[in-house]
Amino acid sequence: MRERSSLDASLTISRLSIYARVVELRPPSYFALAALIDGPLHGYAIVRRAAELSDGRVRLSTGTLYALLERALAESLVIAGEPYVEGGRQRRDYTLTPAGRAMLAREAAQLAHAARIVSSRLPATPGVVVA
Amino acid sequence: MIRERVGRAALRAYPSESRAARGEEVLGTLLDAGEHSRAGFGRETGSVLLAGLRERAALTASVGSRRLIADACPQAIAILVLWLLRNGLLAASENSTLHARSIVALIVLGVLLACAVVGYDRIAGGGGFVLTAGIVLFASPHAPMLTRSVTLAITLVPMACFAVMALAPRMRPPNPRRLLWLAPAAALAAIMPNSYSGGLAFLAVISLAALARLPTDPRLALACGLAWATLALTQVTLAASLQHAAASVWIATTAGTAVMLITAATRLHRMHHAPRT
Repeated sequence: MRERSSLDASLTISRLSIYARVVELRPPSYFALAALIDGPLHGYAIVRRAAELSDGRVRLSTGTLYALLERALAESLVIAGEPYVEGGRQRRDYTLTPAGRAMLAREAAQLAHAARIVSSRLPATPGVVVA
Repeated sequence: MIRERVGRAALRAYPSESRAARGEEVLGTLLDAGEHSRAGFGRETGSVLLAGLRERAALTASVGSRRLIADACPQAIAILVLWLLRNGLLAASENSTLHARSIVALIVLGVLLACAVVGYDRIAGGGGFVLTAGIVLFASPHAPMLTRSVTLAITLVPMACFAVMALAPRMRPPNPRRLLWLAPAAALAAIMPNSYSGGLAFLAVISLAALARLPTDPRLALACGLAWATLALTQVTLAASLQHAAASVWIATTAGTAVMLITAATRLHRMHHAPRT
């Protein structure tokens, strides 16, 4: 009985840790950083690129974008360039750092792993038929 | 042009340092993202406003709960001293036989308040602690209302606040220009009705302002809670010992204490557990 409960506890911990690792970056942060993979972009360009990459599912608002860029800057995941003016608007380009790339790669691998776990099990089990 | 003005107004939600560092850039992105529709611009402006308020809240939270609670103490003292000065001036205008010791105590409290506002927290805290402790120790045995327990009830919270000011002062360079902050509060105290309930209304107006400020800063709400607690303790003690206090007054002050302390504590807790984006 004790073995069973300790097994349950370890499974719970392991599930929680997998879950915590999977959601290390939430979709807005994940796609905002992913938008910078191909090269530096300014704020509004990040908004458009993130929407493209996520098939329109992630629509970054201006407030959210700068909040997450600020955090990414603090964690050295991106660096900000010098401000410049384009079309009457002040811009600044953001570039993904090696640490940012590594984090994105880790995140993508974890998401792929989590997706594999589910997709490999779904066809193998019949599931419960609801009458 | 109007959109730019609205955008600039929304940017004021950000702390001034952030606004100076990247305000123009945020404005450019806001105008680009909201240029296709009025509703879109409204959504973008709302998001900037919320992000600015969140950043302000994060900046406030970054100093730590202990510091925020310690910062609320001088604010509570400022509210209580203004409240006392207002009541003292009213009593003086209506009754010329105001006790000389009370006048001296009010003048000293006024000077201590000025010290705290300018930036000499330690002096104000130490002086205030000695003054309130002296009031408790040398309470007049002949005063019909001021029994030892009532005097203790009046001075308990202020004494604790003065002690916190002396032990954990706000580290800021002295600046006499801060005295200007007292002008609106003094004006508010002056325009309230000439009665005890006028004093409660003064505290209620400050509490409403504190609730409006609560999303980004719980310190004033906490200070109001401490001020209400002083009045509630006094009224409850009066009611218990002398059956003098009106039930409506002690119920109102107790409710004020509960509302302000609970909302401030809840906000303080949430500020340290802000959700991720």
